[in-house]
Amino acid sequence: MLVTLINFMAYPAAAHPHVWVTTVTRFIVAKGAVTGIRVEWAFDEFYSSSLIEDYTDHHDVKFDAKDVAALKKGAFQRTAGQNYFTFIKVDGKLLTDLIPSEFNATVVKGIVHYQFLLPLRAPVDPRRHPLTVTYYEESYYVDVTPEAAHIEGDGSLVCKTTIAEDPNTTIYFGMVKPMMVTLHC
Amino acid sequence: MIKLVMHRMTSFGVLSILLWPALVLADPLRGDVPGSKSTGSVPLWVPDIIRHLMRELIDIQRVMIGDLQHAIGLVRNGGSVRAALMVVGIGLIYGIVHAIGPGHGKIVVASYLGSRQARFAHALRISWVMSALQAGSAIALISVLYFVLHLGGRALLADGALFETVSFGLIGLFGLVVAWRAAWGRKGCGHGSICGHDHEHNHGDVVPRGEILMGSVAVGLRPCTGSLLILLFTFANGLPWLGIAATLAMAAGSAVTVALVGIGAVGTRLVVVRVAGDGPLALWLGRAVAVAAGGVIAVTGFTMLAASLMLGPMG
Repeated sequence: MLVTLINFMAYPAAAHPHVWVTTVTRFIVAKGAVTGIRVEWAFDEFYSSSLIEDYTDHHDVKFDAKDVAALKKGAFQRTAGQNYFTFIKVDGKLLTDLIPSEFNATVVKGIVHYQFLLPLRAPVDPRRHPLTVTYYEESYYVDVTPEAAHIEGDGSLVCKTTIAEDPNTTIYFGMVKPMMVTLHC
Repeated sequence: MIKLVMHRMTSFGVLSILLWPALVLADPLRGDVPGSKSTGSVPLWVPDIIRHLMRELIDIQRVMIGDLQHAIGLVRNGGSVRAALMVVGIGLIYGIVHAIGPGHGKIVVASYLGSRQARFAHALRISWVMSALQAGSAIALISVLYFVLHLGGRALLADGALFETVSFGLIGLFGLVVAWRAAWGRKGCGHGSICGHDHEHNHGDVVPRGEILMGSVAVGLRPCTGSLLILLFTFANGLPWLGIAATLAMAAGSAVTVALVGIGAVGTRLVVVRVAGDGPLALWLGRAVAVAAGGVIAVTGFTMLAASLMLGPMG
């Protein structure tokens, strides 16, 4: 009860986005089913600059293998508690405990990009089991917005993607419905 | 006045030592947000129109940040005065819009000014002092961290979070002071003694200069995270003066918004007072409201303090 009150009162100072992330979503398709989702994040230039400051040698604006490992540990792995801001739902149910692989970080014209793959534990046929991906950071200090979505793989599925507000999720004290990518096959 | 400032600084020092162990990184990407209380877990019903307005507000800020980054890039690459002025201009508008969102002392200002014999001039004074201090604290923090200590983004956001936590505590204390003074009147000026002003006035609800400063310091101590990131960016790119100019512009914009809130509060009170009249009940009510306002500020400050210690700092 007290916690709810504190939550409510904290609204006046609750996090207002200060870091802006856009995502590209790639559904990996093999033999008529989705086997994994490849996610790419692009940070805004200000936050990118702070990552570059902290994780590269000063005269070298790119991430070498050592930097990528440090980034993964210090500025990516900790989002595990929030599903890496990537909430994949099959039949409306959230998939939990997905382990990202193939993490990489690059700098392109001052913008830091992360890439990682979230393999599904079992392939999902989206024609029979609706598949959606919602992006958000729960305190809304980080705004995570999907910008584009693609299908990749062996071409065994012909699908469209749409990006719209997730009607079933709200953050920021009911004020914001995060954006969701839906696969239509 | 000096004694007041010294007193405040001593409290700041004591509070920061006490609060250091509870410090949490402000950044969900780099540190855990403790207590995993999702902001969505409080199911407030929010009308669709408010949701749409909020989304508009956020989208506007997202676009402005992009424009700001673009303009700073222009300055870095060509150094034109026009681009620099664009940075300042965008900063000003961003400050106005950003201050409409949560934070930036609006509750403190509205409660305080709406509950006592404040004039419009007080609204302007408190908002510009508060905003100037917020800009000053961001600039001071970055300058020290960057030039003196050569620390990077992570330390900066962490220390910003410390200032923020302390600021919440000071807001709470400010509320207590305001409520106390409203309840008991000024020292040596009990009801019935000669104070040099009309006995019809409520002694507890005037606007002493010291309280304006106290409130401004309490709120202004908290640097805006947006300014911190912009300052870090410009400092890292060899454009410290541009970052400082942008921060000052943002503070000016923020002051405009907070001043408008303050003016609204003063105006509302004037209307209410006119309607309520001059009788003893109205005077008593006036004093009660003044005490209650102090209470609101204290509760706001202390619950935000508790929330920031439990949930992790908020931007």
